[in-house]
Amino acid sequence: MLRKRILVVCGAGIATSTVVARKLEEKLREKGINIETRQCKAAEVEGMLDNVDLIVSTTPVPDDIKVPVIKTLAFLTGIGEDEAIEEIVRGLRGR
Amino acid sequence: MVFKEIVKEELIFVQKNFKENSDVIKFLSEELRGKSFVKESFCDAVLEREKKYPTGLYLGKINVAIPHADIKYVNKPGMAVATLQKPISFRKMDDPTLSIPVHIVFLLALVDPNEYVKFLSSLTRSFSDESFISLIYSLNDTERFVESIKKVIK
Repeated sequence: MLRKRILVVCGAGIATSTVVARKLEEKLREKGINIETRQCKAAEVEGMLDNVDLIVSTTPVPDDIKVPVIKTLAFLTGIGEDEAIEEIVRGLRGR
Repeated sequence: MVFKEIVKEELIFVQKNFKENSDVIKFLSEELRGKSFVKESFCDAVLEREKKYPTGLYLGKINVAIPHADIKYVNKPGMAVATLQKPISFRKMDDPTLSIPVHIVFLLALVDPNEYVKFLSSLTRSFSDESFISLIYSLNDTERFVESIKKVIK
């Protein structure tokens, strides 16, 4: 089964994106979806889009990115997490 | 990861007042620098990052900010916290065009986020617990503050 690839983006690309990436992997695994995550800073997004199915970001990313973007703090704070997961599952199904 | 090396009573500052968010960051950075957690360049790096990629998190009644900078400015992992008697404006992480009043600032000095991801994750998830946030905001006792944080870290 091909693993879906999610690009996890935050401002500085380390602390918050690591928290989000690990949480995403955990929550999606619970749903039976195995993903591969990559992390980067918002400024680096354009160069990291190869084979990326979805972007999950805590911060705004450029408008003209061809990959679907879900901007949320839900995996950081836990607020709205279930809804965010549903949105991501829907986003991945279309790819 | 040793909790008590990261969360220390002497790095918790309760019910302080500052003029602007940069003043809070400068104050907390200096505290971390004075105890050798971070390099001298840390403060400017945090300020610069906050300008471009703000760290305000809107929770509702009591909001927080988690300013931090690249790991290359850090010597050893730690955290300095200030609760603000009068909330101070920070811009939102997920929408930098908007400002929110922030009541608690967690200045994070991290080295390897993978090693500390459980700590960080527990901490940021505790932000959604209204009673926890209200509690720590109300505390004058730094020992109790540390204990309260310890309880939410898994």
